[in-house]
Amino acid sequence: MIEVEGLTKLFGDRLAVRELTFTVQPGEVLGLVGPNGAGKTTTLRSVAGIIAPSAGRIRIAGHDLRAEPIAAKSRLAFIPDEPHLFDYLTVGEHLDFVARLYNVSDAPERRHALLSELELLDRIDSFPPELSRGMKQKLAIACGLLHAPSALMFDEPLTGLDPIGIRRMKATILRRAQEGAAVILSSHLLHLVEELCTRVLVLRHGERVATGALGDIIAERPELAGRSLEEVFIALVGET
Amino acid sequence: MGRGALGYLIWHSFRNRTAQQVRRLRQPRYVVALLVGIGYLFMLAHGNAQPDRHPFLRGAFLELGLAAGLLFLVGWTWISSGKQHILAYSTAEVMFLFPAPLSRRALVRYKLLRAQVVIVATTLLWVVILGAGRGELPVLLRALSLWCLFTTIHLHRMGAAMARSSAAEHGRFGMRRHTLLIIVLVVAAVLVIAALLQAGNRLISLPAGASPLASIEAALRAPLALVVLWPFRLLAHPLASTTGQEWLRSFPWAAGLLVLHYIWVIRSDAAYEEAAADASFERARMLAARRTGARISSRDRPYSPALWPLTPAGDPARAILWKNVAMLLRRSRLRTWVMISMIVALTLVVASAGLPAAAKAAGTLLLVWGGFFFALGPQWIRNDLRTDLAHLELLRSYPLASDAVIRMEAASSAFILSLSQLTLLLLGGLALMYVPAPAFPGTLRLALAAAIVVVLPALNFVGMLLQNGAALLLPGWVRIGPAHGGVETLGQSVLTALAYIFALVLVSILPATGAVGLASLLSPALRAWAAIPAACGAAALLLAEGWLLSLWLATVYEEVDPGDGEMEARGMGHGA
Repeated sequence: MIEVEGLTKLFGDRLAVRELTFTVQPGEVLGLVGPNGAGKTTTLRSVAGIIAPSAGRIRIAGHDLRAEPIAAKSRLAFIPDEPHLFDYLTVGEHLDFVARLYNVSDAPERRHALLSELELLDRIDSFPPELSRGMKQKLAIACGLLHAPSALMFDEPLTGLDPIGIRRMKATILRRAQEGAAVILSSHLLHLVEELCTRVLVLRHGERVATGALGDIIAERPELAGRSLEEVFIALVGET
Repeated sequence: MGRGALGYLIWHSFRNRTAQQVRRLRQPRYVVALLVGIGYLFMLAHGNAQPDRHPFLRGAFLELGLAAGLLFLVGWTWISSGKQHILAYSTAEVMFLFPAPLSRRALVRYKLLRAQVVIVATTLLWVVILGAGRGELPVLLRALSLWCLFTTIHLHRMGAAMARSSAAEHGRFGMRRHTLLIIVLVVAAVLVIAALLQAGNRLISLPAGASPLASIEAALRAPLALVVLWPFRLLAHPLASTTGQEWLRSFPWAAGLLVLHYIWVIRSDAAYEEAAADASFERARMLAARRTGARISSRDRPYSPALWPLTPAGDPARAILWKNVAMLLRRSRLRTWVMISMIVALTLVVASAGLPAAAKAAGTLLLVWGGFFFALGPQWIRNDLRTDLAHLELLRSYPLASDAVIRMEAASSAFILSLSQLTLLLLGGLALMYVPAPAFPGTLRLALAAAIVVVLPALNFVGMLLQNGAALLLPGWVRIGPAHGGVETLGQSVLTALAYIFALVLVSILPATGAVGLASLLSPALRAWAAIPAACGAAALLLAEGWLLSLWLATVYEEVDPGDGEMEARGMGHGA
């Protein structure tokens, strides 16, 4: 479970996120949407422990991110829009490296299963520069999933993927949610959010504009009934 | 029209970059760093103003030594198989300039003019390093000599890169196009080998008591060596001049060489577009591949034998060390290993042949090289946070304590650096083994060697923490990523090395005092062997300092924002 309470992040004088509170239950996929600069990536980076919040509290699987950062980070995975890989490690070595970082005792079995699921088995000795964009993304996902995290965060997971890659990525996300992971998915692709997410959190200028299942949000605002998702989004964030 | 646009681009890039650096002074840590830097430069300039401070930095020996260094540099330029980065444009330049209606020559001139920004800055730095206040040669003449030297070297590297690129691109036809050049290179190579053999014979025939510097000078003064070094001496002579008249006589020759190089590069413009485009697109392709994830060819595949296995169980932080050693092994080039093997083989031959003067010269050179490596090595070996800051987002997401990350990052480069320094010292010691040195009896040599083995890794660990700390504290001013080549950056490197040694001396005061105290306490009983427990004590104190330093740096590391403009502008937000 991911619990965020009063998350606030300041960059100098600029307020990026203001008093954001939400929870993501196991098995739930929360869609994080909003226009550019709304604070989506800052929120994800804060929840992933990459940047320290200015105020607020974050708990991952019951562990406070500030008080127990190692225990909390051991249970989460953050998969950014650009795969961050080391040019000088092969596909297999990336997974060995991650296995040691997270002390994954049954790493060989999991490694094989993941590479098989993500169709990377035949590229196990390849270096990242030899991989296509989609393969790199798959490798980044394999690294993120190796330790079976209970909290998963995806930032624009479909960037650069071909239609088959998109389909498999969606299946991977849903499968992890079905296995009990709490998932946050940040994307500008509203149809993806609509398809995968059980709830959405709409941000604007770092503040929550709306939260809940899409049907509930529309129910709270009868004037949005019958409109397309895109129109609902534009109406919520107040931009044309 | 094009010329105006290119001039505009150079000037505005320079102006904006300078403004950006000045804006950083809003942060107190940059102001402190600037004040320290200014004070440091002032001290350096003032210190060098004393006449005869560095007698080896003037006169005939300087000319010969510099000429030999230039010969090595030029030879390395032609031998090395590295990519032609000197021809490469930035991605933005490729996008804007290549499709623009600009002539090839305009592009070449733009490239040369842009390089002048760095060359002029390097010249000014070297004027300070070599002593701005020395009265022998006016500062302006010294600056002109340095500028001429750096510009010629830059032009030579460009010309060589174009010729090699063009020859490689066109196969046999390319070889035919460069027949004259190939003949010149072959003749030069034969002359260099013959000169080396002649110089080697001179070394062998020298008496055992000859000083290392005298031996080297005698070898460089062998007739064939003088012939080979002649063009390089022309270039070095203005800098070695001690009077204005001497400078006036020598500078036209150096300037003539510069002009000849300029003509060579400008006339090579037919080959330039292909070579530059290739290098630029290569670079752009690599950058794009990093940012967009596009596939690149198998020729870029790093290769090295398999690494030692990393088991899932154990200290997770050690995975960082494993990864960083892999980085260095797989980014090193074959030529580095060939050179190391050649040095080892030559040293073994010289040491086993029983040639005292040659062994002494070789041993001294290796020890001096070890000393240089101690000062400059930390800037070349960068398999630590200075490279990993490009992956800051990823690093911070790992379940590792920040101080453990800092320590493992510093240990990664300290490990390789110590290994390299100890190898050089071992080889130097091996070469000097047969040279009698009454001041250092065998026991003392052995005890000192053991003490060095103990203390050097600890010292390097603290040193690398300082280097990594500088990158964390001043990311806008410290170079992130691999080391840059070329003499253009040598001034900055030397200044950084001197500052680094100064900082290292400061942190070593306490351990050194402790070691001296312990040694004097134990020496009546242990005699020379007291050096070993003293070194252990010093190493323990250094490690304790390093531990405290890592705890403080961990707080800085946690505050660095991977998403701020400074990091992103320097390519630190994306994959390596």
